[in-house]
Amino acid sequence: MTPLKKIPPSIGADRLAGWTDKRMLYIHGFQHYMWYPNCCVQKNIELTEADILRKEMNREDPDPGSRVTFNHIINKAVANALRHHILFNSKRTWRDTYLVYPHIDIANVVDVEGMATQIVIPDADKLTLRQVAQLSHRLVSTRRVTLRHRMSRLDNIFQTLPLFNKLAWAFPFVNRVLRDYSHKGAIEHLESRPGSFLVTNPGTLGVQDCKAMLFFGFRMGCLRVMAIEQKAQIVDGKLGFKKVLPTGLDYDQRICDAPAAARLLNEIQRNLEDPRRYCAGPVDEPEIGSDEGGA
Amino acid sequence: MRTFEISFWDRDDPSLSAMLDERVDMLAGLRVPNFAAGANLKMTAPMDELNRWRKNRKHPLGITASVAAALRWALESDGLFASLFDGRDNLLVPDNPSIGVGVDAGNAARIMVVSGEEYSDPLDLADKIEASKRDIPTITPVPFSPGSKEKASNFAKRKRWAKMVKQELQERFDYLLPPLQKRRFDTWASQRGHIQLHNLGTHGVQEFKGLLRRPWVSMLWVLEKDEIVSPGDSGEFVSSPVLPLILVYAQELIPVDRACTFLSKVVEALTDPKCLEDRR
Repeated sequence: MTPLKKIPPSIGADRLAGWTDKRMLYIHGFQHYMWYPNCCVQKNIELTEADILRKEMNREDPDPGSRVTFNHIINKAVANALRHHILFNSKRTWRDTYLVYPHIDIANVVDVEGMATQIVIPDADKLTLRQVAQLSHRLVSTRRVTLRHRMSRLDNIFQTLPLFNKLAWAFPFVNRVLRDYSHKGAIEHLESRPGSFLVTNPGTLGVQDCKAMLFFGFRMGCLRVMAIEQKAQIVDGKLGFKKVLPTGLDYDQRICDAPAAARLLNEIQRNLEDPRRYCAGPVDEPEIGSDEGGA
Repeated sequence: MRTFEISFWDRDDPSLSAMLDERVDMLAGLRVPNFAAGANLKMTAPMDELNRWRKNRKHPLGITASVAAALRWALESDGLFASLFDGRDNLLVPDNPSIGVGVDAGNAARIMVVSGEEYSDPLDLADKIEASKRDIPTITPVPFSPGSKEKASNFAKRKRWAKMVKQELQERFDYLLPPLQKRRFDTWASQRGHIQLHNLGTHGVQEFKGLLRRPWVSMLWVLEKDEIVSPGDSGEFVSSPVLPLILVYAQELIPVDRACTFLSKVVEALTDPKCLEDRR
């Protein structure tokens, strides 16, 4: 057997040098206390109507900066559905307590040069579909620039201050102490809007199914969108195909059981399958206490 | 038109605290030391024969009751899946396992336990579940409202805090002291059954990934029926309904091949439900 030390370095090892340094902040995010019991409910959602609406809107305004994609319709559908299921728009704090955010801010995972990062669409439920699309395009292009700058700055810090990396594990604890014991820290924490619900679309990379720890214990849910599939069906004795979008809702079992999560997913499905009615129109403020579409 | 303003909703909010207090036991059970290494196994059962059988019975059965009968039948060949294991050295393998059927009650699922002692026959058990479905009291869920400005009084806060601390300490001591742990262990079966069955098909769920907490060793989840298109005998494409089942089992205790055999047994009973009657 070849001794371990004699195994040649993998191809491109020089390019991977410093990779763990870059990932250190993420690695520490996976600490034991951040784990949570996650479950997932999933269903296939028909995209025919969403596809028609997307094409119509893009014909009206062909500007690439305001082009509507499935992602934008999904974001809008999720934001609308969260209005009626606000417990999923919350965060978990220490001592089994939950804080429900006063705004629905949808965080999107964006892949930039192999490093996943997030953009946040604030108050997505109050924006029109076109506004969501415009804001999303602007944020993604901005993030591409700023992230590159941030990563190169982080590289410089790692090279000049090796101790910085060794102390990375302490950052979450320092944040926690600041939040708990400093009034200013607490106010900043409450005012920060890091995205109250996560939407990720590995389907754009061709992923057909994925069960993973997609969000950390401070969020209560994550919508996971997979690659669009063609599902066979028999209609009037003839073989046909329909486009479906496998959509999964990962949720924290501590906050609710599967039926409550399934109800949120059903409402997202209702929004996506009739987007002209729920997503494209003007933004209505919901009546407080109205029963329409409630949990 | 009223604006959509919600306050920060925390434990001091009466309606939310009421809901969370109800889940205290669940939260305690879901702490990391109580997790079991739960693996998920999926199989589908053809529904043609099952649909004919359950509708032609004198007392027609629903899907949940039919699957419960198949599950009870499969448990006769392997009782390990209905045992309770507390993660240390306690493994309780019952002769007549009770089946807990999940019932949606708004924010949380309630478990209807059907005693294995009284209903040892799968079909009796299925009839009992079917009959009891209408008798289950509807628990009014705590309404999700856009936040309440009302705050609990200091006295109510202290009372709730004292109750929660007492429960938490009780759990810790129960876990440390073997006799108390045993006493608690003995009540699990009567509260939630030896094995649980949940039907998410009523909510249209088509795929599921679950977890497992101790002391349960396995759970069965039923998903929404699916249509499989395949070439028929005459060359034309035909669509046939199938019922997806997911078995979540404790991987540390049960090898995967044994879990496959067990789930195939459930599928076998659903494929040819007459075997449940032949048993009589």
